[in-house]
Amino acid sequence: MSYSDNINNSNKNFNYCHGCGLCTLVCPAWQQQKDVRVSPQGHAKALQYGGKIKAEALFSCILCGACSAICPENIDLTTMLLDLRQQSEKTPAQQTIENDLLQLIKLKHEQKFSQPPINKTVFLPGPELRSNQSYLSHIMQLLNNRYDIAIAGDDGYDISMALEAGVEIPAHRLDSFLQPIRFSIKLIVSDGLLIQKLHHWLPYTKINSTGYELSQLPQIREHIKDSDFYVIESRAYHCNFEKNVSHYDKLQREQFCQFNLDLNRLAIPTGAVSNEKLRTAECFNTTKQAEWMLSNKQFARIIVEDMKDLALLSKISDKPVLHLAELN
Amino acid sequence: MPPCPVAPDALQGIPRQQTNPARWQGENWNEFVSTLQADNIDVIEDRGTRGIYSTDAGGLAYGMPNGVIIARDAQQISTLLRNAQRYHIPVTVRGGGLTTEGESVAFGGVLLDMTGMSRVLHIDKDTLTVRTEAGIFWHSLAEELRRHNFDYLSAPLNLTSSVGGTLGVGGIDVNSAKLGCSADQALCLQVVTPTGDIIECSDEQNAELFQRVILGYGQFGIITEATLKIRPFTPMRMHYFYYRSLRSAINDLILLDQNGVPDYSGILTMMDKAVTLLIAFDSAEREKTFFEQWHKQLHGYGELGFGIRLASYYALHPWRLNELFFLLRRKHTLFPDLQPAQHMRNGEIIDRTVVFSRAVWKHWGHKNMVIPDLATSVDKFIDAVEKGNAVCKHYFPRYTLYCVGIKLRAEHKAHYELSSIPHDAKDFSYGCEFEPILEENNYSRDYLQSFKNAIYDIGVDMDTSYYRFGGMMKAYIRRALGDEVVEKHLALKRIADPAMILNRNVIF
Repeated sequence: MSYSDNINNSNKNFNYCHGCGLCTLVCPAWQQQKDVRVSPQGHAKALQYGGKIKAEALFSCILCGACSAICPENIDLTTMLLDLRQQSEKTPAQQTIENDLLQLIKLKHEQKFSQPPINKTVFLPGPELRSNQSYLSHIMQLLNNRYDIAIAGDDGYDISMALEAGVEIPAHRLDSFLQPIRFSIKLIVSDGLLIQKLHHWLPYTKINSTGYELSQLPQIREHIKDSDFYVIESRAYHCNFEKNVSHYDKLQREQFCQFNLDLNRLAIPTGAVSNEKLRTAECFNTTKQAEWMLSNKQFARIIVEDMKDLALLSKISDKPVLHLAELN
Repeated sequence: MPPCPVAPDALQGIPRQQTNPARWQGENWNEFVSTLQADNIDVIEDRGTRGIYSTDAGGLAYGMPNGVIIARDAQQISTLLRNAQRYHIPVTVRGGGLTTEGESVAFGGVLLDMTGMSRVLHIDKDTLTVRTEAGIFWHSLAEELRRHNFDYLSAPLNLTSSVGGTLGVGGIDVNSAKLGCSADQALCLQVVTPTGDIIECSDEQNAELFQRVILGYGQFGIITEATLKIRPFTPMRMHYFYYRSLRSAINDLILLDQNGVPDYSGILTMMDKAVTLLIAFDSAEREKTFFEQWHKQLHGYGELGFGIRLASYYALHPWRLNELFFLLRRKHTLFPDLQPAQHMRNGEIIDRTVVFSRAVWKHWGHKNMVIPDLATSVDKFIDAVEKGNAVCKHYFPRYTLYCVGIKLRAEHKAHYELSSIPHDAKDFSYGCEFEPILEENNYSRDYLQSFKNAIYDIGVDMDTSYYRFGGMMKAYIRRALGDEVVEKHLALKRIADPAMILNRNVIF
């Protein structure tokens, strides 16, 4: 299965690239390597000329989605990259990851999950929040004030990992993941890559990120200060860019905090949510990226939406780093 | 006769023959590459990578380099150029690739991608200067400067223009009538000469090299680092005035510019039916002065007044309703993008470069960017624009004119010698870009070239100049600048670049 066959909401592929270079400009992989071959523009133009793209270049990408958000031609560049990953010749290390993932997918498919009730809002917290019960129960408590909400038994993290690794997802696994949530009123999802695909797979379901939902809550918003540096999770942010720009702009006007946004209002990612095992350290360095994100910024504390950003930024910053849920 | 190295398989079954004996035909390439590799310089020869650089923003000139080198430092470039001289290999330098006439397209030889050198090296808050590698995009520079609450002085309205490329051709912003062209903000440069010497130059040090490199269209060296003036960041207060007449709008633009009224000014049109004078200010005081002293002298209307006049016109010309629908559609889509909520605070634009650049790509971007222009003295400007407007009307149903002034710096006269600045311009030069809105229409290259020629012929008739006179338009260089200037610079080029390898075919 080619992902673009099923889930691409843009009719435009790499053939439509005029080479304007806006995607290169905002590409974190390009910013680190300064080599256009790792950027979406480089991939698109190379393909137009019959070139092959090396796996190393493809897996330098952290799938932050900024390129898709800024492309003036509305080419779904993230999907293009996922397709290319699936078609690429994997390195031995990537092949090992692929084999492990296929095992995981098989296990998840065979696992019996509790079914979330129909006509409810369903929360897909992801493995990091699941492993931290205090955060998870607190977030559920907060969201419960707003929604009639249930936690999904299966939050599809194996599917997200397979997407990122360029591993073909068996149709039966995709069905077993989507079937229980197909008739949900709304999905609240922590995994940004999964959100983008869920928009395509379940086009009539409302889907928001955990960060978006939490930052809507008055009891959270009122605790965001003007001296805070707020780190938006970039994958979720870019896959619904127009809506999210307005949401976070409103938050900035009300609370006067700083965001990890560049002049284009694209989110500067740390890359922590991406799978480091898929690339070599030379391709993309998350610490270096996080340091750039914070450089010359004045703030008293860091607020994050994602648990992996929490872990990374806690290591490199001497300021307090809090998850959004901790503000209440 | 040898096969053509550029497109040997362009005609299937019929080997394409090289018909221009002066063109480089691939001699010494393998020896050249081996020598560079021995110096640890990576020459990328795969087809996909070379294809990335096959055309420029114009999308009308196509060529393939034999190999690509990503710039990393001045020493690497020095080694490249020394060997290029030795083996007679053409080297084409590319920043953002935003040329429109194929100037940054390599027709064989090496393509040097300068974006590999994109670091900001030092920001000096006391002297208000920045030292940066020259391959950096202006937008990336703005990102760095903003973190220190600074901004550059002026840069092209395009996110992906590079600093080095812009300094080599001029660069025009909506504040050029106040601050001059982008190249005017350069204080000193590190340049690698065509023979591989790494030289620091400015108006005080190695001045002759500095004067040839600034606005030199890449003929006399590769800019690897630049020291630029910067300024404290300020948001921008924007105002629009609408006109039915190009002449009235241009008169008002010149009036305001010559009296130093606005901080930013320009004219943007939808054909000649809706002419918008945009002016903006860095401070509330200057804005207030404008409204107290100058506003009443303008002939433009507010949005409502202009709308009534436009409606009256089309009520009397109902057979042109399609045009009205286009204007309304364009206004409906374009104007919100000129003041998007997330880039506005208290009625001020806080990221002008982003706002304008994204609007440019979104509303004027096309696989073919056709933007012939005329650069004139103040006295000739209105006539030039009206003649160009007539040409646009003849060729395309939809088009835009973009007019802006450039303040000329007397002390920079030597910089302007081989540039778009017209010989008869004093204090100010004015430029107008004539840009067809191509939308989904497919015009042939010949048709687009014919349009460009028709605009440039106006320049010949009016004895004036052009911003884009390199590459495919270089036939106009002698007509615009005269034999004396061209011969002088050609002689200098032959001394500086004995094998004539650097940016071949751009000017000479």
